[in-house]
Amino acid sequence: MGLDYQTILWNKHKKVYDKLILAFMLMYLLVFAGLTFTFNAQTTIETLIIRAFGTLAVIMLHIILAIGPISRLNTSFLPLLYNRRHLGVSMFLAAAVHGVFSMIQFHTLGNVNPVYSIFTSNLDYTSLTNFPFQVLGFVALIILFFMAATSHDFWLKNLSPSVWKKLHMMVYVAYALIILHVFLGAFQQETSPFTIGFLSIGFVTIVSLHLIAGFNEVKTDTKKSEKDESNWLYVCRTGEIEEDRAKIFTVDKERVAIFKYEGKLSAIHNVCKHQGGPLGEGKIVDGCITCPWHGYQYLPGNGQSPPPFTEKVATYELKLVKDKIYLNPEAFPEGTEVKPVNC
Amino acid sequence: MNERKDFYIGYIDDVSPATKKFLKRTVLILALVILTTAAIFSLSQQPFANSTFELSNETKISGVYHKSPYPMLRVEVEKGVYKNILLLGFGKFGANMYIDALKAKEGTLINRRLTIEGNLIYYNGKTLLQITNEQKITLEPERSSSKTDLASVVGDFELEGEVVDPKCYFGVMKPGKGKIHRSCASLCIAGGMPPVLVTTDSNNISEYFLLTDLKGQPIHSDILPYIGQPSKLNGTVEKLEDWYVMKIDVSNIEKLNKNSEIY
Amino acid sequence: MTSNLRRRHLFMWIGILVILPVLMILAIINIPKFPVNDQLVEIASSNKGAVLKTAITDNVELKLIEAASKKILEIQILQPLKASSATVHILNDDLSKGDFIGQISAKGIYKFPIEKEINGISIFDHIKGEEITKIQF
Repeated sequence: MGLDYQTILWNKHKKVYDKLILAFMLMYLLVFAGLTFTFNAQTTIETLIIRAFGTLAVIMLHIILAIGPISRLNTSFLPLLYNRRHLGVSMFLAAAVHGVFSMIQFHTLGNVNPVYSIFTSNLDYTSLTNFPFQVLGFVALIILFFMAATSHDFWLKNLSPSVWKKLHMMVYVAYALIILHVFLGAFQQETSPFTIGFLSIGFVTIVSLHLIAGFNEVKTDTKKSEKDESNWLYVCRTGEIEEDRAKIFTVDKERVAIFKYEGKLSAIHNVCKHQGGPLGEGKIVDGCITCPWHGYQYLPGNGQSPPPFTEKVATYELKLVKDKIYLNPEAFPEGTEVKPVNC
Repeated sequence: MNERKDFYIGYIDDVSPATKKFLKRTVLILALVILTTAAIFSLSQQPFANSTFELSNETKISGVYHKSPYPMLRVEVEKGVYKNILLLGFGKFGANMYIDALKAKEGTLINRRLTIEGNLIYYNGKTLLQITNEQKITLEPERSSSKTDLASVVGDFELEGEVVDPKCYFGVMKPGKGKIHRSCASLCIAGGMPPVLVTTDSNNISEYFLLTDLKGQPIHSDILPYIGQPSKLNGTVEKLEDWYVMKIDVSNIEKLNKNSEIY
Repeated sequence: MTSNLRRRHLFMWIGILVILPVLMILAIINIPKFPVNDQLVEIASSNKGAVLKTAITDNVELKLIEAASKKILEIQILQPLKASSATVHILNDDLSKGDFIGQISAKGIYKFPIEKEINGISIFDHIKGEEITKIQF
């Protein structure tokens, strides 16, 4: 949101978050290695590294993918979402260690270039179980690389939030590729009901969370509203909105947030300019509407971020008939000053 | 709803006690998930073979060189008792480049006594030697009087098993077989290593067969499509002291998991 | 998120839900099974005769068998030996390596005729020039 970009704008929570990520990753690797050396000591270091980092990346990806929908279902999880990109970059690093070591081990020191070898050393592209699973992992790693490399607000701004979001939604493709990489690779040889069961439960969990959260949103999006004689839409009664909070109202599948604060009402477009967070689920803090995802702020009266920030969202006109709130569905241009309605 | 009243903002240091408590609980649950996952993935690994690759240790061995049809050194382990050590190159290459370099200088090496310093690879009674440099091969002055034809025919067999590259299988990688390792095995065999058929019986006892074509010549690229998967091979098996050699027609190899074709 | 973006998320997950399980199940069903091959096994016609002495370690089992007034030393390698070569010798009374009996290699059963009195064996790696193990009855 700043005009100048720093590598990372550190704050206390980010530091705690990153320390926890590092601690958990180390804990995973140490437990994996410790148990392997204790119960299966004939391993080689290369195999240990490849397996420890590969499985670590898989479990991290599951956690990353769960954070989004679980925060939609229970807002208490939002602190995990706040710095999710740090988790994403860490997951990429774990996956990269797995990928690079596998490439060194299986594809270097031969008579062809290692990358060429990934695509050509097994040509059973027409078979399911003999399919060259390395290719799936390689493509997933490339996707993760671009995501990790652009995991910064500099790129978010410069690629535009919509392109950035499209790129980062590729994580779902990466997830599908990684699951197939494991099922057509490791599980074809290291077949264990525990690991297969684990990833299957993981799949059911992740898909269920996303679908439950997704269908919940569909319900909100398809709500119909009644119009008055001048085509304004009835929202709700003033008493239904808590102080400093908002009511989210759907107009033609797009959402508007109607905030109540200091005896006034203001309506702005619900979508945060940063990453599309739901402003109507935010709160007014120090007189600013604060996005629940990453804390971006907007003034309720004009939909503009307080200087020096430059984000602007569309505003809407409200009217009050007794204690019934009505909204003009025609949005004003982004950042237009609208006089709040007193209630 | 209490949770709704707790509004977390990442860049503000103060966090309400309720959020703090919730996050602590979440972190604890995540720690348990991480520990459980590590245990599941680590403990469900199949046992590794007790094979050995002496990467950082070089051993000097002396014996009589022969090519049957892959380079081997016949080492006398006791008077009149021999062990045939399969010779391999560095990385994913066979030993031929080093042997050929010496041959260019010294003439044929067949049946001549060589001393080679290299890295031993061994597992389950089979021993291989990685040569990393032609300088590490020395030609001994004495002429050998050993037999030239060591092979004796065992019979015709139809065997089911897996074609592997011996370098990885017998020690360099664990596991040095199967689907995960298939690409590597293809590179190794394409790079000049002998293809080896591994069969396993119901007592989990394995036999190893160096594969050659019907004329007893080396096979490399022709066998690549059959590596690392269950296959059925037909051919004449010969015993070469402590190794079997199987003469096959590659086009008669049958893949045993053909039901996996998707189109 | 805009409704467009929400729809795109939902469609992607419905797509994953439809496609991925099919491939996952097919992958599991088609896991290759490596065949078992019994053609070359020399059936271990175990012990026709009286077992005189036995000894067992983690990876080797020894039996001295007497059949038709001939003594046979049966060595069964239970787990592959971690050795670059393996020759079997009689173990002398002072625990030094004695006469050569034979060469062993892979996991399996080996039989050697024995003429002398035997109290144990020494398994020796000639290539490394070191003893792998001693086993006493």
